[in-house]
Amino acid sequence: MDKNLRVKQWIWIGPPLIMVSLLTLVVLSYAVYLGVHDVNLLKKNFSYTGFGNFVKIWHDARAWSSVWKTVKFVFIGTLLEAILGLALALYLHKDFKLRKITRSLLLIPMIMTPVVSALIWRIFYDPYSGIINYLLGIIGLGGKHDWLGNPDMALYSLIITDIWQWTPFVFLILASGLDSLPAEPYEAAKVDGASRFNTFWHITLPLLKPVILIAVMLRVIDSIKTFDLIYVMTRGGPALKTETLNMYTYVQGMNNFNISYASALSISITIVLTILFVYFYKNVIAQKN
Amino acid sequence: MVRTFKKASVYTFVASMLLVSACSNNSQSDNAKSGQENAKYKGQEITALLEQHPTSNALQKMLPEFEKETGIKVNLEIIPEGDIPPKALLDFSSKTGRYDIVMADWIFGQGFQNGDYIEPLNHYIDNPSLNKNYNGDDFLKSYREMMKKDGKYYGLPVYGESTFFMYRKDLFEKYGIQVPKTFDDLMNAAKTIHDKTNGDIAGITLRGQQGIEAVYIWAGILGGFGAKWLDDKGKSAIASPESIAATKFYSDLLRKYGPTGVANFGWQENRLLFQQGKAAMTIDATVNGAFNEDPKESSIVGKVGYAPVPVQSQSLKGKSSSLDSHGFYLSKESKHKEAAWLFMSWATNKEQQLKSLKLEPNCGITSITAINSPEFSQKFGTFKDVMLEAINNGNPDYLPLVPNINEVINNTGIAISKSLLGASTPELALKEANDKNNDLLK
Repeated sequence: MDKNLRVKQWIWIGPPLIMVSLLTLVVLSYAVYLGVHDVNLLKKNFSYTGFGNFVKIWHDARAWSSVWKTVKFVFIGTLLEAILGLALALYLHKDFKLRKITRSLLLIPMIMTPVVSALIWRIFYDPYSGIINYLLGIIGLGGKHDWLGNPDMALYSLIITDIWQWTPFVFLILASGLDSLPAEPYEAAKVDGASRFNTFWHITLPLLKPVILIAVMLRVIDSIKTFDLIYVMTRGGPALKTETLNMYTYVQGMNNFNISYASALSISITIVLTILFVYFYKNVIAQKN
Repeated sequence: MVRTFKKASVYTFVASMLLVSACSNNSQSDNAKSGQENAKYKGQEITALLEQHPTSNALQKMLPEFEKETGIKVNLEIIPEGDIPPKALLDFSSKTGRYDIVMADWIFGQGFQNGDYIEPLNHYIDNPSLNKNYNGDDFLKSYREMMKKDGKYYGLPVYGESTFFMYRKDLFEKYGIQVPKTFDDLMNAAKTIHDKTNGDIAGITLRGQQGIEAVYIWAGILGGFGAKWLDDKGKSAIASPESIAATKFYSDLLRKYGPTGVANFGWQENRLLFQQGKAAMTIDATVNGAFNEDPKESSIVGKVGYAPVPVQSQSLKGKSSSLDSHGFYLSKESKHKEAAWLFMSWATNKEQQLKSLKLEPNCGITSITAINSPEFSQKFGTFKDVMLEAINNGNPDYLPLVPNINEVINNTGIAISKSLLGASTPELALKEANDKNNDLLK
């Protein structure tokens, strides 16, 4: 490469690179600094503890139980969102009269601020004046279900809201994926007399797979980070049944003011997720492409 | 001791003023002097972090008077109550001095004090050139004395509350129920209502949401059963037999006769259910009285009776009514402490409280003069006496006043929620919380 050009490159790339790395590095190193100390905002003094916080996390039953709840929330939510999103995308791929407007209307939940949709669903779920119990009562399924107060049900009620809000997102990605599929394989399948199911199973699904994987990955990342929904609807209760890892980190940091412990938790989450996703990306998504 | 000193200093002040006016023989010099005093703070800018509360709204409306009079510029930052502690603590610990004044519940105020983040106020209270707005004797004594630690005042009470028992007079009469004095009476009354109405009207509604919400009401039952949060050595004592009995009672009562969804009820949900006439009794904050009697809000105006929270044990170690006071605290990092003090003492004195009462519905005011005013009786007369009784008998140790109170409440709240839902027995759940709390209190 021309030496002059290389210098010019750095002139352009340099400043933003410095800015971005400063911003990330400063924040990240401060988080690490906090993570290896024992800062509690209520105490003036703090000291260096090394890996103390991380060892504590390893032995923290509440943290592990929140990991399990996070996995449940993410797995069930994302799975159903992917299935529903795919079904909707396939269904609305056909041409019909109100196709455009139906597609736009479907996107409304996704555009809504999560706090707002959480508040709306909290009202929907209200055992006394909520619309869900009212409708169930009319069709004879009982009108006194305690959606958010029943410990066996609360997490699933949150998942339902999450599905309602984020299926449109999966739909949006898959629908544009479907639109960009080549027409030739379909024509060939038609000539060969393949059934609709076979066409779907052997052509659409394999062709769409990379897009589905991307959508799922984005949803998993987002879903692990879910906070507003849980904070507004249950605050981690009842009986800790909806306290995900993110929520627990918040409680440690902003309720108990154990800033260092919360930082250590966040760092652990970040490390584990980064490893998982780099592996996932390299071995599944990148390979398929 | 403090008060005698204060009195003495007031006399000295008056005497010296007389002397000054006698010497100058000109009354105008007095005005000139106070003008000079004000001018001293002119142009100073202070910032106060306030809770979203009627008092803060009223202060916002009255603020121009203060700014005009003193020339001090005051910025009010009004945010939800729950966001105050983290925001204040982040500011305190980073020492930016952004907030000169912070308004918060004393349960956090004592944490700020413990962290050495706020100023003792005696220096200002006793300073004759600064205390013209301050009248300590006009504050309800319980509120004022709560904010005292090691003989020093750390906060000025802005508003406060206690808890009391509220019941539907009409339903009690209809089913021949006496106002409960003990928790057994309370259980029976709830059963009667529940059985006679086939569960259409909940016997009782209480807060059940995991965290401070449930803990705040549960603590009253704890006190009423004769239990305390901490033993004499400052160790956690919530696994005591009395505490287990109280938790069992709370869980049984709500599971048998409480409303559906109670495990997720906070202050708002509980208040609304009672106001809509869907429950016959509740125990909650005295401020709920104002909501019950507000025709715009409530469908049970005039039908509510008020009484003290029942007690079970005659040998009470704790008490069953809370005492909760929210105050203004002066940051150690403030750059204009005297100006900030002037604002704090102005905002809490009786004239402002009287005006605040007219501007916004607020039954939590702390000034005796304002509470005894006709406006107060006209607005809140139905429950005023029971409320004052509750405040006077209020338990200042209703919640454990330790620095990491939030974490203690969090641990305990989980135990209560588990017990309420039957996810664990009260014994096991409380034992777990007790151990965790003791780790914290080491």
